[in-house]
Amino acid sequence: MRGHLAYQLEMGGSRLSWQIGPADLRCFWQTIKCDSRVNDVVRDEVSERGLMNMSEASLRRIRATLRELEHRVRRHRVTVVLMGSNRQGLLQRRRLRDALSREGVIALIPEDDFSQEVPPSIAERKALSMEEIDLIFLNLQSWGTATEFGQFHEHEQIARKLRVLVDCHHHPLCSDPRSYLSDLCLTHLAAYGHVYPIASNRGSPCPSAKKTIVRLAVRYGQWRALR
Amino acid sequence: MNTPQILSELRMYAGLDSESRLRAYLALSETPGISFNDLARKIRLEKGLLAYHLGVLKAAGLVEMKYERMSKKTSRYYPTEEGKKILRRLVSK
Repeated sequence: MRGHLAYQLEMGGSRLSWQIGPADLRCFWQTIKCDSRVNDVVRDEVSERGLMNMSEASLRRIRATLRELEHRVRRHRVTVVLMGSNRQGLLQRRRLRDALSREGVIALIPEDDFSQEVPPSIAERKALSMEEIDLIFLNLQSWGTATEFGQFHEHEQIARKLRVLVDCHHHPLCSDPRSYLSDLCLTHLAAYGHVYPIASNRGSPCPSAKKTIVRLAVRYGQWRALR
Repeated sequence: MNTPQILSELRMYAGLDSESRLRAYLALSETPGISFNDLARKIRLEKGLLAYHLGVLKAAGLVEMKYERMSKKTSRYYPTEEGKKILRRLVSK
């Protein structure tokens, strides 16, 4: 029946079935009235089976709705990760996340979005390797981000998705790459592309980090929609 | 729906487009305020992967995360109002 979840439970040779309406999902487990005792193990099994049944049907509906929405805006869904420095860099990334969200982009900030129960280095590495992550924006603002860049450059699956932003004065094509970091940027640019100069101050001819990232993410979604 | 509304829905539906993530979302909708560790046990998902999926749900605007104490050692998850609307729509179809 539409809008109802049907469960069947076998206990003590009898089969019980009941239906739960969608009105209150918090109570979608109802008390079973029967002679047999219901222990927590049985309850968890039924709850899990119920979740599985519900999620398969819901996933089909979600994907159908997604296709329709993507068709209407002529844009594929995009998921990005925003990496950068702490403090001012974190505030900047939060403003950027809001701008990307208004464009329908899912923007993850590891410091805000990943639970502290899992060590950050493990959670980040897991996330960045996920196939559904489309782009990873890394603003080279500090020694910490430079270290991360070195690590990500070595990992091909991550490196291909990396979009590196560097102050235009230090961009390897705009300056003489004498430092190790500039040299690494040049190698990454040659191997993977995607090292972008950004403005360090208002008078700079280069775009800001925010403008660069939003434009790239939106265009990426438009490009994917046409493939 | 106007374009900003469509883009907002696109982001939220994209957040649910994964079997593991949907299961996590259904489980936390059933038990709002569930802790990270309890959720991992309930849906039997490896913690690193669950941290990622919950991060996506949060970034998609479907879930709020609150820390239990200043130490930030225990996080708890709640569906947002927008997330509840989407879920009601999915269940009522």
